[in-house]
Amino acid sequence: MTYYVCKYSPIELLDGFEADCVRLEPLPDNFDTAESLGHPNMCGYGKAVIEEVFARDIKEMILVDCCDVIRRVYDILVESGRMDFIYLLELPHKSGEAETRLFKKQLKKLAEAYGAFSGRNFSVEKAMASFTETKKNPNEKHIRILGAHGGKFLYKTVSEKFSLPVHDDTCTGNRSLEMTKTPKDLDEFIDIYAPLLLRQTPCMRMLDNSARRSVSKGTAGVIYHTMKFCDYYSFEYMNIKNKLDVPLLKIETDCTSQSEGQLSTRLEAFAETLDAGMNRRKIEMKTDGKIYTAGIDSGSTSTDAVIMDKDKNIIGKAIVATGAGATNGAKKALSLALEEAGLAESDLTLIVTTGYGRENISFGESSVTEITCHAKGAHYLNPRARTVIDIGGQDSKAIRIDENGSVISFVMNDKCAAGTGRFLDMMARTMELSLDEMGEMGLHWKNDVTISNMCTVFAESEVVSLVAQDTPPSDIIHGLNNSVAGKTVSLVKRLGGESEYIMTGGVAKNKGIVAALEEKLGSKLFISEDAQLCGAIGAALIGMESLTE
Amino acid sequence: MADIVEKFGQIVNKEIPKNPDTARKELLFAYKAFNVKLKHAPDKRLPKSRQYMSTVCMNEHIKSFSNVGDSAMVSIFLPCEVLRAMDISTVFAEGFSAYITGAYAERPMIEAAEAAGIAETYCSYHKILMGAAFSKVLPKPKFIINTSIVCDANNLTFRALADYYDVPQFYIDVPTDTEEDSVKYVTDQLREMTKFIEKNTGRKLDEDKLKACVARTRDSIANFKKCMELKKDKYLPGDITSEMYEVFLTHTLFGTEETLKYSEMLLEDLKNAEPKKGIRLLWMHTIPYFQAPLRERLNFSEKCQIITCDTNFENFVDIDPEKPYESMARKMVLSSYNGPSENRINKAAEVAKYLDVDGVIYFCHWGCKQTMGAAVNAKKKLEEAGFPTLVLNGDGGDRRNTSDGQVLTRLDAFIEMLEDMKK
Repeated sequence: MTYYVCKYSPIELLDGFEADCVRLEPLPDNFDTAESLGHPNMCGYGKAVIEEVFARDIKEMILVDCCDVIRRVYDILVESGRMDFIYLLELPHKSGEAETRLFKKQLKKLAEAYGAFSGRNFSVEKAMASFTETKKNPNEKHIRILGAHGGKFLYKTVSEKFSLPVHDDTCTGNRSLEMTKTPKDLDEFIDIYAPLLLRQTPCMRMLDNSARRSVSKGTAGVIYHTMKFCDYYSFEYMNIKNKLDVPLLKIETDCTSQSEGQLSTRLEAFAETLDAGMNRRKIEMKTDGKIYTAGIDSGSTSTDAVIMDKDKNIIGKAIVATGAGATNGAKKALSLALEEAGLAESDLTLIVTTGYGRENISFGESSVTEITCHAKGAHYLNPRARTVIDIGGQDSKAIRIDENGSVISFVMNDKCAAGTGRFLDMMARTMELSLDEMGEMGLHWKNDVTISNMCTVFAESEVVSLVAQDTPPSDIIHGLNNSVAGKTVSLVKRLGGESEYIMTGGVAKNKGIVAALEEKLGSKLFISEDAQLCGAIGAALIGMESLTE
Repeated sequence: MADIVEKFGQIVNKEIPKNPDTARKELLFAYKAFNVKLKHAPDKRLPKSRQYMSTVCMNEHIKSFSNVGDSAMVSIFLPCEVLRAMDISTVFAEGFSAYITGAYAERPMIEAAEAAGIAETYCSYHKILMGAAFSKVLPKPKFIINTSIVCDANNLTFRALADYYDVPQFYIDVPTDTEEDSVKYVTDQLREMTKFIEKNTGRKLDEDKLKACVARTRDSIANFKKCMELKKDKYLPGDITSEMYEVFLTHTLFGTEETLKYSEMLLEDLKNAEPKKGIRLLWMHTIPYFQAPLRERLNFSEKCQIITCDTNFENFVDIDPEKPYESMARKMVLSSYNGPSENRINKAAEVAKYLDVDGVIYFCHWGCKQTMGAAVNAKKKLEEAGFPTLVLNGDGGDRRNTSDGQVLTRLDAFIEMLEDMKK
């Protein structure tokens, strides 16, 4: 069996030699081997390929010199000495006559090398029988995945969240070639085949990739997949993010299954905005007359609960530390809020949960992602708000909303603590301050201190050395606030955020951060007394609207 | 001095998002002021050749930055002899960004690029160039010419900037296969490039001037090779910034009278230099010349010194001025940076042996996947060849991605180890 990764791999040519080509679908648990042979800062996909080759003892592989990382994966696999056949096919960046001529030559070289290795001759019939991929109909209503390699894992994860068919147009997907004529021998095969291969829908590596920019009629939404240390696709994302007239969601994975949690929230929220989600449950009324709903936002740090009556008044609220276990925290928050409202749990018509723990709260009757809830909640708190900024414990997000509080689009931080509440938490601990003290002190700075490291771990050591140099804590905090604000404002810019801005979540109480954000945005932030409850308010409101509509 | 520059950087940084034109003027003012210092009060610890080189690079930077509209934006591995023969200055990512970082002005540019959607993990040299464009500090160039070598960033930045600026772009695809077919293919593209330049400037290239430029490249390479021979046994006081200046001279300034003059002066300096001393290192990739621990340990030190940097000899090939296009094509196709990492590692090992260095520092510039992916192989092969190798992570352009403390510990431990080995 010969494995391949890139869509420019000449699999039909190799199958003519009975190579039995199979696309590699790596999904490792860790990158231990790859990082010991290469470098942590290679992209997840490149590292995953190395892991898979070792884990499955793969012996034959065809790679294409599509990007820097794959070129180095080739070097590493050659050096490992474990491959029986490994080949790096040179691929031009252009597809004109001169390039096609050179590419044909490269294909002939490959055919010779594989023929010599396998001891088999080329069979036109076998090669022709290998053309099996079919093109999906671009006009059917579908969700399109674009960007860096997604593979079966992403395809499956996305398919599970959407009620529409999914088209995988990532760099390793979307491969279909059609040979219209049966050639007589290898030379003629290559003559027809080379231009076919070279003139597929181009990947970002090709100089002229204008053909990628066309969006077909059927695309209901685009999920744009990037990977850390993949150069190519952030460029395409930069280009299309403001030009596309269909909804767009950017996601980032590292080619392991560990991204699943973060991924679910983003995908479900996107499905909610497209109205193409899978689990729209019909909710039954429990009581007539008096209706009360509860919204519970189960976050990584705190769990918030809100009780709402049918006139959409908040009649009970509570904020507790999440502690261990989402259900316990939720129970505690709910009973405190009920107490304030003077109600019992049996008085509630509906409980809607949101936040990271939303699916795990056993007594919740419906769950909605925190994106939709924050949008609703923010609109409730300030109907003029058009951009919501929320710095949460492990996620920061910016959400654009319309005049009804519906999500127009949203972006979230990548898989990294920098710029989140957790970052501030850790820094407060390093400086032995409470978060409240930190919020206040950040306003009274004198000298501009730059915390240059973005990585939480490195920033911590930077703070430690600033402390050692007797830098006033207020200056250090101001530096940290600027670093978080910089990160957050870049999310807002990516989104194309516009005023009025509202900030929600617990970090909204931090005056230093608010001041830094306002300076970088050049605009005031609206901050409600109930900023921290925004998600829970949204959840209760969504519950109430589902009952009264 | 660094403190003043840092304060200056803070002032410019505030200006960049609001008044990019003012920021550009402030930057240019600072570069010009520094150039006056370089000319009239040069660092006397540097040999004459290197003092001269610092002004050559600064002149080129000021010339292109103050008149971007008449300059060409190019990728670093593009042979620029045609442009030089037509007296066209160049802006290239690594050079431009190094000057921006030198003025502590990189941060707002990086932020501008990231806000536009460029990944944090992208090469900082390229990110700074793009951020300078997006923040309007760097105006539109006359046109853009770039090559496919040697990394993805060269394929991406320039296409995106040609789009952004809406200026003509010419692209040269360089195969990794080193056969004659590849040389011919690249030669043809270079001839087309000349037509492109002529069309976009409305001027005609004087072929004799081109041949003269290529002859100067040939002569400069010959001098640099003679310098290598002398470097084997000599100690020439130097600093890491000079190694980075040399990147200009061995790339976009190849073919100029200045590069030829520098190569002659360097040869002279080496002839008069003292016998070799201390720990001698070969550096691979670019050098974060602004980083304090590296400056402290490696500048003007008799204890430890960088003898050469592999970026400065990757393109030393045979040049025939009568065949200027073919010669330029060879510089790219046969570059030790082109193709599998084995080429680059073998070349470094060969030069390390020739120069009789004590060790190699393999610098993993954040975002350079080409280099990072080959780090383990490089260390293994160089050590097999007898050269202890330190793989050092850092960033040549973005201070955020590097830590002085970490770099210092690793460098000191490596120097201690090499000293121990020498005993």
